[in-house]
Amino acid sequence: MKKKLFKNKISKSLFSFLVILPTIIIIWQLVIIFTGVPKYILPSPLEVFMEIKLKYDIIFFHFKITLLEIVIGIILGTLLGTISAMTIFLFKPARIWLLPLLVASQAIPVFAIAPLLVLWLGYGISSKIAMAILIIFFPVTANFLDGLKKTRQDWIQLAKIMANETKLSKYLIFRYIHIPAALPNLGSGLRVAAAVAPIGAIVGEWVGSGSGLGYLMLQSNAKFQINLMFASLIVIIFTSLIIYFSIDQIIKFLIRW
Amino acid sequence: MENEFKYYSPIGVTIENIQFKYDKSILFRDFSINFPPNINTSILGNNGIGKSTLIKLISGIEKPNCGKITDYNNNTINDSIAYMDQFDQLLPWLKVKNNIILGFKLRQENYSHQKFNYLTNILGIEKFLNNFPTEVSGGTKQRIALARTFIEDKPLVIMDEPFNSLDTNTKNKLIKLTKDLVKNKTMILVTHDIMEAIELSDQIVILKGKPAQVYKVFNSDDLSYFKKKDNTIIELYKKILNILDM
Repeated sequence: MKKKLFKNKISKSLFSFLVILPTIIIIWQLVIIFTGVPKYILPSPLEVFMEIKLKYDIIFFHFKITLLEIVIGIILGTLLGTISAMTIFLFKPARIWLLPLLVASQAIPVFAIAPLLVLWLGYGISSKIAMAILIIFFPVTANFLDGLKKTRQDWIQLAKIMANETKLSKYLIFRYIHIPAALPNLGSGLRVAAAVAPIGAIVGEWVGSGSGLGYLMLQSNAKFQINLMFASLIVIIFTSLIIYFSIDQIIKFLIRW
Repeated sequence: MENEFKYYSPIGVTIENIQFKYDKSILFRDFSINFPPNINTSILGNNGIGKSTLIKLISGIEKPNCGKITDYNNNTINDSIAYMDQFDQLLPWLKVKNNIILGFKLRQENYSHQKFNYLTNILGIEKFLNNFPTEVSGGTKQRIALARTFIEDKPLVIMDEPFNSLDTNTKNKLIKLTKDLVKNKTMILVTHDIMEAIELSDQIVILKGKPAQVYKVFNSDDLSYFKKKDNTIIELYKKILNILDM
């Protein structure tokens, strides 16, 4: 029974998480005990937990907004990334013009354009979604494009023989061979996207917003509510972990090759 | 069991004065050969001689630098080919059933359920239809690849060492099944296995030299003479082996 449980990858991840989490909490508490660091610098885990319990309503309100920004950002970023990868792969002019633009876009730090996005798109969730899209667009595009390019040649050759080179054959080979063959790469891109999308949303909230966990962190910092600031941070970390592992499990379930 | 799918008349293949270069080395120069209709031909030759390249040229995977490859009526053969590689080339994201009918999906055609059932039945793969290729054995994968090749029902079957990685028992079973399935078709087979070539072919072509040339052809008459008795088959085996060793 135990063996079966451990064979399950979800159980393994959950098990390691359940080991790591108390370890971190213990180390955190030990640091406070042995260094005597004041509460306004580093509150204890118990204080942070009590703060989450006490201000559950406020935290949950801001959590919902940040989660929405991250999820919409991942969906739209993935959509845009896959469309770009397919366009670059299928059309030579797009390869010439889009690819350098794509690489150049990564040279600009997200922090640098965050104020611009807030200026253009406002203080609402749009600018945060745009930040999340910007940050995940490249890993999704680059990974998926790589997968499309590296489709096994023998599969393509076989498909060409079978397709009889009709007008539609290029499109059908792309649909039935290239896309599924590149899905594991898209999965890798999505994993990276899931890990970095919260950064985009939080940075966007820091630069200018009226809600979200990033905003709550800044506000509590300004008001010297250190416990609330740490509580927001812990919720952000857990949100990011849940998003990452959920996407990882969905990928593992859907893309088994 | 009689192969009942005869929607076409068998075609022959004519290769006329082709030249093909690969990485600066010339594999074929002024190379010509005929593969007569309804005749199963095995191509034998040492490693690197260009056997696989030759059938890739016939299949259209590679293009000759010059010369032409057509049927006996000077028509293109691209639409008449069913191809099977030494590796099963099954797509891991498709279930076995969808792998078998892949060609029909790519041509957006309907497949014959009767033919599908017949093939999956004689190849013994019915119970794996809802499995993914990663869930079946190597022998089963080759059976699935055979089903995918023969459901195409094309007049020209091209096979590149299709049973290379199989154990002797599975190999013999699949050779027998292939023999049934290629009836009324023209088959071109590349193999290293002399006995497989003798078993499956009406004609054996031996390639030698660089650039490759047809060194020896054992035609239907030669083979039927040797196939009369067991000891003459061994004689033929030794003859071919000697040619390859020369």
